[in-house]
Amino acid sequence: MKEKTDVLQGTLALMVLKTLDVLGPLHGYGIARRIEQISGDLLTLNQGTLYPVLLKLEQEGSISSDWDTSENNRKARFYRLTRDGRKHLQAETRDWEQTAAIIGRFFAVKAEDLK
Amino acid sequence: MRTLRRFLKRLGSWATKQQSEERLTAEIEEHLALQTAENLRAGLSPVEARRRAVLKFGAIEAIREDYRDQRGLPFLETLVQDTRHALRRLRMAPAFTITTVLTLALGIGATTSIFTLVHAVLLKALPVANPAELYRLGKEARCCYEGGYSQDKEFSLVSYDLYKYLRDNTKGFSELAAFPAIEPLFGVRRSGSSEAAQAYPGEFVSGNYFSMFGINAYAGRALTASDDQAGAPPVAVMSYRLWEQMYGSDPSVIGAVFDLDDKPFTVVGITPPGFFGDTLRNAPPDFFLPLNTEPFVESDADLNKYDTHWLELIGRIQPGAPPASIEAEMRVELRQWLGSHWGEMSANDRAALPNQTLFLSPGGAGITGMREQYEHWLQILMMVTTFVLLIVCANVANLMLVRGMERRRQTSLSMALGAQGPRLVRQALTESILLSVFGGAAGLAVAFAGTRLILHFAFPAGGMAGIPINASPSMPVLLFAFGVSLATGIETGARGIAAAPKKEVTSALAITGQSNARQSCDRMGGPQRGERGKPAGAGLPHAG
Repeated sequence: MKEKTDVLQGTLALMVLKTLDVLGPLHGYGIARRIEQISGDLLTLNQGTLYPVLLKLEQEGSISSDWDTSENNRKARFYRLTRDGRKHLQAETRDWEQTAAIIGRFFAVKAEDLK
Repeated sequence: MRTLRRFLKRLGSWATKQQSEERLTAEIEEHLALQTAENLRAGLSPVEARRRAVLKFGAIEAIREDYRDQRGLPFLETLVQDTRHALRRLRMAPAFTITTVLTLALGIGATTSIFTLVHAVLLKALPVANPAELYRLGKEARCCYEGGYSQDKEFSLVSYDLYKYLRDNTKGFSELAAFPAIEPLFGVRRSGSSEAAQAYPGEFVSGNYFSMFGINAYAGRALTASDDQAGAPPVAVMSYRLWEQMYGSDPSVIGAVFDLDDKPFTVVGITPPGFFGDTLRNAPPDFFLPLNTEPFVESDADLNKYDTHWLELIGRIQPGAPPASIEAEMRVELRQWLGSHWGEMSANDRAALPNQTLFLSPGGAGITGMREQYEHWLQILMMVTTFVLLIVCANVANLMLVRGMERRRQTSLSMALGAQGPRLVRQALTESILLSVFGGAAGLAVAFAGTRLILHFAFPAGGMAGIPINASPSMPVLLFAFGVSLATGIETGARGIAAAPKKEVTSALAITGQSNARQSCDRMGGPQRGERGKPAGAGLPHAG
């Protein structure tokens, strides 16, 4: 089996934003589960580490949160993406794609290409 | 923008600590419940389901810690904690605290007071417009009369006739004013009143004296050239100090007639507050009278004697005029004037004529007799004070070092319990800085009192208001002294603590433990003094 990778610094916030963007309001556990599912269980995620990230995003105004009732009738705190958060996500996505493209080119380069 | 918003949020959430703590607890509980439920569905036993859920969540305490750091402002929080801790420790060692604060206060206060005096006497310019444009006649102060037509070394006092000759012929001065080196006392009373006359110092000044200094009257008008003419009605300008203290700032004083040595003078104006004339002295003049009234008051008048030299000169040079060329111009004028009195000269004067010369020197500080008189002593005083400040610093350093040694056991214990080195250094620094701040605050009080006291000794006559020096301590000096003591405190405080971590923690504990076995057992066992009710180590910074 392929070794699981740790979550890259700063990318967890981006994953949270994207998850909320695609799936709408979710509680912390829901977000953790989605991230694991989407990554195909390739990521080892200490689920708890999500909460400081959620707090930071909320302080920045990218997400907001409210108490609500979860699917099994328990009180849970639901997080939703704000308009600011959506803009932030778009900007981050652009940056990420750019970075990935640049790195991709470096990996694709062969010795003869540079002669 | 995003960062700013976050900062404000964090600042705000500082207050709502409890609430968000509960929120996190609830969220974690909810999270674990959901995960457990899912594990149960996967067919695990309830106990195992819960265990797996907790495992998957990760180290709850570490996450809580991280969450707290994200929520508030850990830097501010630890600063507050450190300050509280330092205050508690200082309270536990009152002898050390009081000694250090008092030492600092005296050192800072004394230095500041003396430098304030030195600054006022040695360095300060007159409170007049553009003092840098003022030049005075003479290199050295000379008092008070010179007779004949020759003066040793330099011509620094002049007669009224010579003054007029220099004033009218020297182009480089926009104004050249004259006044006697001496300051006569007058018996003064308001004309027509039966009160006993009081003695106040006065000064004869040329009519352009106030315009030369660029000084306007506070009330009424200043003297003018037309007041200073033979036959002009006798007028006077009164000092603000006298007007305020003796006449309660009574506006009717202006225009009133005062008898000076039984000669009537009309007071036409009041000098601005803080103006003390041309010379820093302990009894500044209270009346400024036109030079031409001198024969009116004095029975043996000097005004019209060509060969009695009794006047000092201060002039304002034309902007941009080089003082050296004015000086050269005046030397020529001096020779011409002396030449015109060849007939009256004695044989000695005639022989000395080729050596007669004069010098100009910067006059922004006025006639600086006091400066020259006390310069030497003040410099010695200044050096002594500098040493006092050094001694104070050495003392504080000693106290801090001893404290650092005493602290070593505590430091070793804290480190054994997992405190971080940097945090311990920060605590020691906080303590030193707090001490310096207290010392500085007390020093400020000492400086205010000390400055007044020293000025009182230096200028005994005339009460506080007569002193032409501002009694508030000089801020730059105060800041300097405070900075020096702060640096001392920080340096020694940090060194004392930085030495500790290099030693083996256990050996340090063992050594101090041997000598203080009982004491430290008591300390570690029971609640610590000043930290009652908390378990031992609660006041220590913990790791993470």
